[in-house]
Amino acid sequence: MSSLLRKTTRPFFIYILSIFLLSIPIYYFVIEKIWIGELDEHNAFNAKNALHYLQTEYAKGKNLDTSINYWNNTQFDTHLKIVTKPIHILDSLYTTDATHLALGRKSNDNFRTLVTTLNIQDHYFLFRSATSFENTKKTIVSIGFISLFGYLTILIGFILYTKWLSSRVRDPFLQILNNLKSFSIKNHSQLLLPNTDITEFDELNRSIYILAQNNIAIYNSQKEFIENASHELKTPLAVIKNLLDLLFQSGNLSTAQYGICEEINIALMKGNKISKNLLLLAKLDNKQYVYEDQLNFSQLFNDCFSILETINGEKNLSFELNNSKDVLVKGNKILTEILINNLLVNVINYSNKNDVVYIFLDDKQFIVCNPGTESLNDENLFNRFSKKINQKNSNGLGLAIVHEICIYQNWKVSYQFENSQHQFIITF
Amino acid sequence: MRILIVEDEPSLSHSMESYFNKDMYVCDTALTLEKALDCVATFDYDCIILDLMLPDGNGYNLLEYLSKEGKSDGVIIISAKTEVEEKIFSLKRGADDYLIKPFYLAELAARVYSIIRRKYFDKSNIYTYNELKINFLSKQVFCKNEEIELTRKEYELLLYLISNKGRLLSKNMLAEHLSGGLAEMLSNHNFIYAHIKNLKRKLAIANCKNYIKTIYATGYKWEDND
Repeated sequence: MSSLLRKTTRPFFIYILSIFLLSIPIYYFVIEKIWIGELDEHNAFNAKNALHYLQTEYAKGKNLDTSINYWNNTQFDTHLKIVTKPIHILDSLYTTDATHLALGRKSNDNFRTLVTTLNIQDHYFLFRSATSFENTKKTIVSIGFISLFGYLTILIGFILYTKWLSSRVRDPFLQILNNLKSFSIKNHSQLLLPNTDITEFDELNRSIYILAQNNIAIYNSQKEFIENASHELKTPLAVIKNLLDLLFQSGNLSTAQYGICEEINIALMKGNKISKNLLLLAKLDNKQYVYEDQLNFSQLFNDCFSILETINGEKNLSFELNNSKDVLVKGNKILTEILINNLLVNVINYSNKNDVVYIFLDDKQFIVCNPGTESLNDENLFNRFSKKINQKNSNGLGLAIVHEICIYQNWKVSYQFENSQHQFIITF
Repeated sequence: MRILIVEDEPSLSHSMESYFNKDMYVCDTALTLEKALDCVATFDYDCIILDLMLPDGNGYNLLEYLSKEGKSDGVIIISAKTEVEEKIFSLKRGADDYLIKPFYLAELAARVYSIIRRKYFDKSNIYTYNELKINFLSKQVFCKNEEIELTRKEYELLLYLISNKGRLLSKNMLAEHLSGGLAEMLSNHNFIYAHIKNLKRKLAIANCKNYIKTIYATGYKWEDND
């Protein structure tokens, strides 16, 4: 993935660079062609001049040899020679080491040369005009460099302008993105959207605002429903419980009637637990729990484990702990506590007297093992209300809660039966 | 001792009133916030049992009033809301305790007793029951000036029994008190027997009278038969 700025400017830079690279040879050849044309015109003009000179000299009745010598001595770039018959020679470009009279030395220069025959009456002359190409070459190179400089200036200017323009367009977008990142429905934070004078971003702002408001409304409505449902479920349970308490304290009951009261209390406790668990599941669905990035799982486990002493009682289970200190995970404290308690109580409920329970914790896994005789049915183990036939005291939600909490916190829960041990494994 | 019960569900309100009347508390009840505000304006209460969701307002309004008037009435919030944030919020707003519905009346009684005890025994922190002395600050228990070494849970169990003296406490009540929310998940509450047995044994070793009576197939009671 690449940033917006790079994605939008890169094709254009490639385009500009391609045009620039292509233009260099095109520019050079075009300029050269134009200059050669100019040189050819110059040479042709020299030829016309020479012909005119010869015609004038001939008309005056002067000695043509003398006139030709005079011409050759004065017109350095040209040369006349009497020939006996016409010669057909094409224009050509060649390097010569002709002595440069002005420089007083030889120089290797390229010349654009015209060789042609002139004729007056029956007299034929071979005319050669050679114009130095080097000066024009230098001109071409200079023009080339100036053009290159111009191109680079335009290119750099355009790059800077594009960057400035992109950031001006991109900034409001980035601001919207940052505000969205920090927005949280649960924390009732305000969604602040920056003012913008760009039509599309203004439309984006309005759409996001409406979407956020709708989501907040839905969230609040579901939260309120869950809170009201909780209250409505718990009130009748509380009424029954308190009336039973009064009955219990009345002192007029037989032993059997006390027993009935206790059984009703136990059923109430289960009903309360089911309603608590169902509400927890509803809140998980509504994503009402926030994560902490650095939750100390080890410490949380120790707090939960300390209560085990209280409830271990007559089962007299012993625990072998292999726990790393300060295992930090990303999760919600309340949910993680519920997860740990569910697994530990599960172990207490389904272990026999004097069993040994193994618990392992490191930064990758949390494992709880207790002895068993046969594997549990892992297909339905984590489904709601699934339980074994002899699990009469279970409401079938304990492991389902563990499963849902793991999904919510992006952990994984699995079960395996190995070496006569039930193993519940949480992978972070 | 005067208690105010602010609860809009009449049946709950009546249950709590009946329970505390037996303990010789004077109980006032309020089914609405308005009535509750009238009550606190008129009397000073040792403890207020306050429901949050009232038909004409929020229980927090009463807390605000108490704070504004500088009243030192103890407040226990009773609520169906289980969120920890709600509990923290309540305690920050001036509540002394927070109890989630549904609850055993014995549990509520223990909490009320704890608040009243803090109010009245703050200076000395010592509570005397016959030959027993309890130092609430250091959590030490003495019998005839000899310290009895109790675990934390045995200490909590002792306080719970004394706070509900004369009342029959079932195994389930004791289990819920000692293990909190875990009691609902456990398949049985027989672990209580071990704690009761240990507490009785330690009190006996310290030559304390046996105040913990076992009521067959029912529960336990703290009483002095003399």
